[in-house]
Amino acid sequence: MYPGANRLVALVGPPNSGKTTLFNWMTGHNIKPVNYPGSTVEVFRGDTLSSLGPVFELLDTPGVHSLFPKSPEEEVTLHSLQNGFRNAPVQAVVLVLDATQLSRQIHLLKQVQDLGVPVLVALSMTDLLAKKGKSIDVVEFERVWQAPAVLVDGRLGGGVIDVIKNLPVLSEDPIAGVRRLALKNWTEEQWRQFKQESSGKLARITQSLPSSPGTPKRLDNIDHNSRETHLKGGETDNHQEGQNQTTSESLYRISNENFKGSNLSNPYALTRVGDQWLLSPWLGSVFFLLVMSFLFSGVFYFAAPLMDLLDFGVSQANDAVHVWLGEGILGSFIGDGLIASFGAVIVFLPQIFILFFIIGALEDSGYLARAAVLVDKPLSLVGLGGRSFVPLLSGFACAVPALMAARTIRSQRERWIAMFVLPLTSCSARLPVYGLLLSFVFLGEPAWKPGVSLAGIYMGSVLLSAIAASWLHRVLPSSKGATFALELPIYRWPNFLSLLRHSYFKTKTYLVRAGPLILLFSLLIWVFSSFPVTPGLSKSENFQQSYLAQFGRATEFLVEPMGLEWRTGLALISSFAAREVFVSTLAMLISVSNPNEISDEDSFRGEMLVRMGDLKKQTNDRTFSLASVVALILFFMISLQCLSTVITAYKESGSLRFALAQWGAYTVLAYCLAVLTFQFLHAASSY
Amino acid sequence: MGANVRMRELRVGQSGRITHIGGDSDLRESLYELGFFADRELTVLSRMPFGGPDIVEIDGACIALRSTEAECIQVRIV
Repeated sequence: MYPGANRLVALVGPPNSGKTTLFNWMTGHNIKPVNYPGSTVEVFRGDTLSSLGPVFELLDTPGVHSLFPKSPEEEVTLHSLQNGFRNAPVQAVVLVLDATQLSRQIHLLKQVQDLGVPVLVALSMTDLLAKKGKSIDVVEFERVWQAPAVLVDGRLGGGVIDVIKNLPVLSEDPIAGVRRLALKNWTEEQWRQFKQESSGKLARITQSLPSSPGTPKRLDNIDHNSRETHLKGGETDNHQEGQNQTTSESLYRISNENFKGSNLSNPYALTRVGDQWLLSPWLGSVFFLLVMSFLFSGVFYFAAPLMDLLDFGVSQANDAVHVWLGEGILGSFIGDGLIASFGAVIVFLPQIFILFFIIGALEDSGYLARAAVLVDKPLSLVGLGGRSFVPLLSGFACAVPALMAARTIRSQRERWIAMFVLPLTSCSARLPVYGLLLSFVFLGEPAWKPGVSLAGIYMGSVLLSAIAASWLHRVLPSSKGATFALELPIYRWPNFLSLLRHSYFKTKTYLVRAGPLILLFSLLIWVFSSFPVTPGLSKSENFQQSYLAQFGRATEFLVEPMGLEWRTGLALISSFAAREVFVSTLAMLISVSNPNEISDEDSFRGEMLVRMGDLKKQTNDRTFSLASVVALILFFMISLQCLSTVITAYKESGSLRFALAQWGAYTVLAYCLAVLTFQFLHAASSY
Repeated sequence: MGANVRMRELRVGQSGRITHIGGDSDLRESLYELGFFADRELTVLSRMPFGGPDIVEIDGACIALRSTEAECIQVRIV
């Protein structure tokens, strides 16, 4: 039993209402991403701080505009209210509403109340309301909406204690408990009825409210006929409506009569000015391209010093192991096996971290929503849309969270297209492979050359995704006009600490996912490359007749047409577990096969490059020739060598056929193109 | 009292008061949820080129709407 057990409270609210900020205040940033981290796509849970009062288990649910889900992501929210979390029912809901947007958000309160779950309203963004020269009358709010409410200040953490204070009362309400249990057993018909009643109310409630503060209110010439037309059958409850109409005007108080709305410290004015530039058709596009170039060049620029440092550390560790443990079996396993395998991958962690960090910063600042608007039209030409933009961009970090982020896409058709092409975006697991191959090809040449080539690879992956998407767009049966309707949050400074935390979680997950695979393959490769042990043979002679070498030679015919020999072939086969395993396996295999070679290189990667050069000579300029490197890069651009992605695609699509078809299609296509490319380039270079 | 037009016909910077929301029930519902109701006033802030989304302000919030969604909203120019 952990402290918050059986005191499960769900945080519910519209997107950008300050839900996650409140969550962080209540849990002291002590969050546990449940399952897989991906902003709030998956549910986050955490225990509330004991210093604030009684401990509750808190769930941060995906932002919703209503309880009727439009996307698989929004379903998570309804699902957690309905079924609780891990068999524990939700005892109470903290509904976070943006105090400046009440007229547009208040219907959500009504829906949660109608569901029968006890609810506490946390009115957020009160600091912004103050900047508009307004404040809110909580007592009046509670009276009108029949729900306890507290004001919270996301920036300073005000009101957080009040939230906790009011929770015990809610969660011990026995009548609500009975209704909650009944929720699980609601029939389809009950839900349909609930939805029908609720959408009738939605129109009434929202219309009965005055517009948000700051918007001049005009009650004249209300067109009752038009109101009736769109209500479409929802019977009018005149009594309730009338009551709200008379009282709701006093919801907002003017706290500062002399307030002028147009100074730049006002986030709304700032957002307006910002959008005039950033969302203007042409300047906005230029800025978008600048941001994207900054994103990708920044990843390499900022990561470089850290990568050098890690590289140095790995090479030192390897040397130290060899000194301590000698060249025996243990020394070779730990040094050439484990450290070489992990070293080949951990040097890329800074790039992955920085990529997650910059994407997170762009998202939190509010810019990504604008970027989604800018690319909506171009993406719609290939059957995608603005809502696919964030998943696709995340795909450059890792396809697994990106596939999960695709849940935010409302149209099923668009979601499938996005999920299908996502593995083509150049994920960070490919970086170790591209990095190694490019630094080998451009060894000793100016640094801009591999840089430009890498940019080319990224553009190529964008082009490939576009081709694949437009092909799917043409073959899939078309659906009714897909909706977009995206609310643009105001611009805000991202919270540096919580960004660090999120990037750390994601990078850690990346390592945790790849780690066991790397360990397993290192172990397998070490075992099968050391046995059977024939006495009297040197280490490399023994390797040449090991099980692994036998297997490699037997499968060499598969990779030979794309210019590889059996050791690189083995590395390629092992990379189907995860792409970066290619580098770690290769590191192991070529150091085992040339153990007596002593290089002067003091860096781990330098040593590896020297050995790759040896391999090239041994195969008469075939393996790791320019032709074979280009073919190999093309193979990695297309092929879906990632177990986690295949599994996630299966889970997210709910279709094994989808996952297998995707895997099969990309593997076959990658192989054919790689063979053709190698054969063509190799023939061309011989003339 | 201005003319009754579709929202797409408003110029950038022009405001209109919503008179009617059409389209199928799913689309209407998603527009309601975002605060698009009869009698609410909206302003077109920006319009993406080549028939891209419109950015409109309603009740202090900025919302991007595709042309298919914008087509469903009838307004009276104010």
